[in-house]
Amino acid sequence: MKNKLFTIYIFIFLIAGLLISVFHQDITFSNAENRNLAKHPKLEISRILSGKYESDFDEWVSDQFALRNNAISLKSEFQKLILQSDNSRVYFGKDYYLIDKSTVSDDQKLNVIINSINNFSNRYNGNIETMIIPSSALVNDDKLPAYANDLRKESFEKINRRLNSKITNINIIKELKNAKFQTFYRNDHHWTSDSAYLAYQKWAKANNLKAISKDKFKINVVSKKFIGATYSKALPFNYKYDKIKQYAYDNKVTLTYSDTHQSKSLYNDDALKKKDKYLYFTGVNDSLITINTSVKNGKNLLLIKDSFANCYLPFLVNHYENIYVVDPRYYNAPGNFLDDYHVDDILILYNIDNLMDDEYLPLFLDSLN
Amino acid sequence: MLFSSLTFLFYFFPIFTLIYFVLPRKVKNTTLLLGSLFFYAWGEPVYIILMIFSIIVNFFIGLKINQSKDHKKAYLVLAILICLGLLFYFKYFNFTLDLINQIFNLNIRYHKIGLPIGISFYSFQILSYIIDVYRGKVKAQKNIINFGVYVALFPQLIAGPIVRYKTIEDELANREITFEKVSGGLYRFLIGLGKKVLLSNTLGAIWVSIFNSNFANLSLGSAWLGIICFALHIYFDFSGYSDMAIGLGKIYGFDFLENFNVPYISKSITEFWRRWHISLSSWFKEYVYIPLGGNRKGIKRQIINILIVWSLTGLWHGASLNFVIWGMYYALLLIIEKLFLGKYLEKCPGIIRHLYALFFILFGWLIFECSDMSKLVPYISSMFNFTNIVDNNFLYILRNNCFMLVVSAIICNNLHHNLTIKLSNNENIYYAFKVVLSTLLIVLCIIYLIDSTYNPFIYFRF
Repeated sequence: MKNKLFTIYIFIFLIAGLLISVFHQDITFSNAENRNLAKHPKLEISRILSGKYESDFDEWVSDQFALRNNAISLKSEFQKLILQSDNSRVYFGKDYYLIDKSTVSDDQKLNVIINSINNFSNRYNGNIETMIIPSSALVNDDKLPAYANDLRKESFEKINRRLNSKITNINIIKELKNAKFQTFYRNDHHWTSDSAYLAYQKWAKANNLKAISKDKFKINVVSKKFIGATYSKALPFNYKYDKIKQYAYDNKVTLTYSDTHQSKSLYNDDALKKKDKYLYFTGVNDSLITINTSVKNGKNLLLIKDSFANCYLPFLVNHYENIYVVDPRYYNAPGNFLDDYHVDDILILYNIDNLMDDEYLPLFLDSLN
Repeated sequence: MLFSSLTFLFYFFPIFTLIYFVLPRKVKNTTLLLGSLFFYAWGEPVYIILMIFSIIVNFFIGLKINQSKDHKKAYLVLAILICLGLLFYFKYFNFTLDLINQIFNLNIRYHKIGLPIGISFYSFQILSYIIDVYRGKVKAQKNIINFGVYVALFPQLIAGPIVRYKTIEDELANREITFEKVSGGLYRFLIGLGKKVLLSNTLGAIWVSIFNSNFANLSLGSAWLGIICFALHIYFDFSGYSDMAIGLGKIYGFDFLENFNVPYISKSITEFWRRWHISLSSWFKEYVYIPLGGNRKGIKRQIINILIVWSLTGLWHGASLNFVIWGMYYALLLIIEKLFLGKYLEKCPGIIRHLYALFFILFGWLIFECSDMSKLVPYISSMFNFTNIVDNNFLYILRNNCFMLVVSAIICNNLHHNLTIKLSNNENIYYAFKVVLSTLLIVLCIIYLIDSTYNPFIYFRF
């Protein structure tokens, strides 16, 4: 009798899983994962024979499993229960911080990046500045679980040490570590606008410029309910929303995107209604955005950047007439770009994790004459 | 198809099993054969032809050996040539050409041949059948469906155990399906699934992170922890698969022999190989070591036999030099134990013998894992780097995985054995325990399987 009951009990689980999977309406897009989920594969003889149908089917079952997001949440909670403090994607930090965990430190790649920046600075006669932004794990080490030793620490120190002396390198890790405010979002890998302002002060000093003082900005909290990318990597039951701040300043700008459409604002209000609220800052990354400002000083900046620069732009626009914002992932610059656009200064602004995970920056720099 | 996939758990297994239960006894073997071929074809749609070919050819050769009086040996040799020929071609051809190219400095080009899943297992099963028919130990199977089931039976198809024909000969024709067996099989399957998904995968990831790190900064603690995690990972992976196979076999009415018997409690290398992958070591003993003369032809010959058997055992694990070295390493240890060390060991306290065995087993795994032999020496020197004993990385991994490591240590030392015996004294409590554990395992395994494919795509990450 007991054996019969046990058998039935287990089969109920399995058949429930089967029914849920069969009758579940396919979802095309996952908000949590921010990607399109696998569709039911097409049944074709050639695809069956090549094994493609089978692997697609496996993917579909897993992607479309009805309780997929709940499963991720449950796993995070179970891992916390058994005293695990990361899920190999993010650390479960103190005070509800979810912090990206870096698992690779590739010395060879780092050398390629450093050499490419240094070689470029030897070819180019103008002013080059670099600002490598540390990751949350490096700044918020007090929020990390005990003994956690992020692999990017070494890479970060090395690149700041080894950049050519011709380059004005601005290292802000000390300032960020000593800052009294929240430097990074809890639920996202980006830095906060407050941190960007801090970096702006140091940048202005390095350039002998007078930074606009904080009280001249109108600081607005544009969202109190931000949960971003690091949250998506764990989907914990308990979390604490982040606030997004805007540093507004009276400066007229015109942004021209690569598809020639124009915008009069550095901000994208629509993003605040969606999940990825960080896109509030200049919207989706574009290959080349030309920003024309009301600062008529005739100075042009080439900004080679990742998404960390998006919340830094509101400060930069007060010091240049034109800023060419380039995202090397999407942009192949013509060789004579620097002459054509009369670039005066170049700023490379990258987060250390993005720098190490991506191979486009060296490719882009090597293509510039 | 893998047992540890959602497709198997929620589609193939429940649908196939219910069909199998409902259909009348007469067609159960046909169902099982078709189901097994489908299962195999899911991962290897083309190589299924190879398997069907092997089934048909060896079925008829088996019959011929039985009938023929004068040409028995010729048929035996033919079958062995076909089996080993296919195995050699698909598993060792690339490797051999690489070796020839390297040794003679040639540049013979070739197409990379993919390895058909499970070929090492089903080839050995067929060989054992053919040899046993030749020796007159079993009668040839007269029904091709039954023979097909023996070769292709999906529970043991992909990762063993290597089932000997005589152990399931009767069950192929006649077997009972009872709720006792089915529920026992389900429970065993879930235990195996848990070992694979929860323990093996977690421990394997720790090993990979340590093995791929920069050895220059690797502390002594991390190096040891890494290889211990690998030893646990491969044990739970392999024995988990065996548990799932044995469990599934039970569900369909078969009793397979055990494949692992708590190997890490061994007190000598000889004992370890009596407890580890039993179906493989007994296969080599029965069909290679004893026919070569075993220990009956003097000690010199025995040593040569051991060396032959173990280089083959090593090579069976994969077409790579480090596996051969790994096999020879064990041959050497076994010979040394046989010649003199065994006698000394017997006088030592148990704990010393245990530590001795574990030490050499761990070293063995290191050779096993270093297909890039240039990593071996730096890793070993980290294991004895007394200038850097403990670092943050070691402490972090240890603290982070304390639960999984403790559970692993309990299971691989069989410390839970007494508890289960006590529990099984009271039927009701034992039953409740089984239900709770099964529920936990099934829920956790599903969660872990889903998480392994969870892939947040952060397009604005950059």
